[in-house]
Amino acid sequence: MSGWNGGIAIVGIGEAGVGRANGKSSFALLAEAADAALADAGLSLDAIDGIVSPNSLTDTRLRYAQSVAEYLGMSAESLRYVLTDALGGAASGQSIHNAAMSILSGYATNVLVVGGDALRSASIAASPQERMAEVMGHEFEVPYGLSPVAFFALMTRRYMHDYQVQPESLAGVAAQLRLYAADNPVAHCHGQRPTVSDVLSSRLISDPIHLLECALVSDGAAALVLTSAQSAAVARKKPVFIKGRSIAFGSGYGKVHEHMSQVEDLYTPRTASRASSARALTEAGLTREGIDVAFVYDAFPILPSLFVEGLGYAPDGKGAEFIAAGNTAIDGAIPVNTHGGLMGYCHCGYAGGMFMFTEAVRQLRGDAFCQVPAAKTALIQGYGSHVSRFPTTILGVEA
Amino acid sequence: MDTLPIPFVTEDAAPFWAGCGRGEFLVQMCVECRKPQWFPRARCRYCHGWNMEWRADRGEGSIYSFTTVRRAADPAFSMMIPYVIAFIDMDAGFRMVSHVVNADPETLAVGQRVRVTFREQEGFKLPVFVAGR
Repeated sequence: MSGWNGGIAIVGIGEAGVGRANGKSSFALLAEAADAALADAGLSLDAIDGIVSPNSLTDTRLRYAQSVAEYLGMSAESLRYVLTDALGGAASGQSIHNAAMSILSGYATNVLVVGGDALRSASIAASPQERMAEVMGHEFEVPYGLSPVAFFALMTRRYMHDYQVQPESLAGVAAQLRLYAADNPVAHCHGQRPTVSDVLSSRLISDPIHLLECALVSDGAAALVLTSAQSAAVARKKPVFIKGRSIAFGSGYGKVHEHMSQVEDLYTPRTASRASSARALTEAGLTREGIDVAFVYDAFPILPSLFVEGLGYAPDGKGAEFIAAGNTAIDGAIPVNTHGGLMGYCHCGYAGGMFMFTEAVRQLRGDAFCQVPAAKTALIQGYGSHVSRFPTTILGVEA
Repeated sequence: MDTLPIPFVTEDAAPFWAGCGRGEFLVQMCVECRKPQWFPRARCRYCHGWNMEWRADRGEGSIYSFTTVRRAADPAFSMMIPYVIAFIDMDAGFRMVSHVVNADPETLAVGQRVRVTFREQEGFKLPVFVAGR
């Protein structure tokens, strides 16, 4: 195959400092993850002619990816493509798409996608929560102290109202998704198994959202190496191919927005993922039933709840119950976020979604800690940029 | 450093803020397609016309959703905790984010009627809402 269906492969993955950096800087974590991904791919740094990075919450330099290239000591002679994807949580999916585009267009041949942060331990002037609040609208949002957690609390409250969803179901989403991390020795929250009542008795941050219903603040970095399907034929490990991708903006209908409070439909994660995943599946020549393992951006329980609805696994309003009841566990109808997600594995800021990709590759290689038997296809549903961007990526073992 | 943030006033919305200063809630309307527009802009997002006007509004609406913030992302708001952020469905035909300031959060409900008032914030008149029929 060629083009978007089978033309691009992921041939290397690497992670570093997941959960705790042990005194290392953000850039050291990125370099460690990059080294691991290059070793996995069997490529030297000089073979890399493109680099794409999500932006950082601890270092707000505009040309962040170029700062990473400087730190890594990349060759000015060979480098052809450098891009910083300053897109919040959506940066991971978009970075993969942009890296693939640069190869498909002939701009670059081997591209390193690397992101992360020592978010938990770096000494920074403002908290990650404050940094995220700073990028809200300065005329109609910042004066009211609107923040991502407050916004998702508004979304959660309305969801509970419209569909009579009980607090136990949303707490059950957090408890259920964290179970994968509890079993995974690499995860930030390895060994922690909060129950529904533990979640509900953790303190309220912005009601109805409790502390244990929030993404972690973790250290960590992840890296992937992308190349053409032709080059992947000689890769060290079994390549994993991009089979389809799409993105929906805003709600997937109506008008595009950038400000969080300008969203037209509060259920935009559902409507947008429905639109984007349908296009991505068509491109891949697959149906939902052909997907073996799914990954969805899960910063708060409301997001995976709406995503399993948008992706068609649960009826509207039943997503939280679907997850809380165990349907996304390893033996469930559709395993979701088998690494442990943003609430259990790692949330190192804007690059937290990168771990959906490294884990998807492990699943398709058969190397995952919680392995879905004979997984051949994975769907990754990203989220970011003030509920305005929803990239979908479908990966498969065959070109 | 922990003073509350004030709006960064754009040219597009300056008349709105001037209205707030006088205790008036102004709604921007497109003269061509008659749709209200929030945020205010020089040009209509719907019909792309450039002919916009301002109309005094009663500033009433109902709560679409609300949250009681118990831990502020911006430390400047720590002194205000707990406070209520809400999406308000304005009768004028748009949805905005604001605060509900007079109510016991335990008694607030989706669908509850609210009306605008203006709170002094660092010398600025900021539209916020009070619950009531």
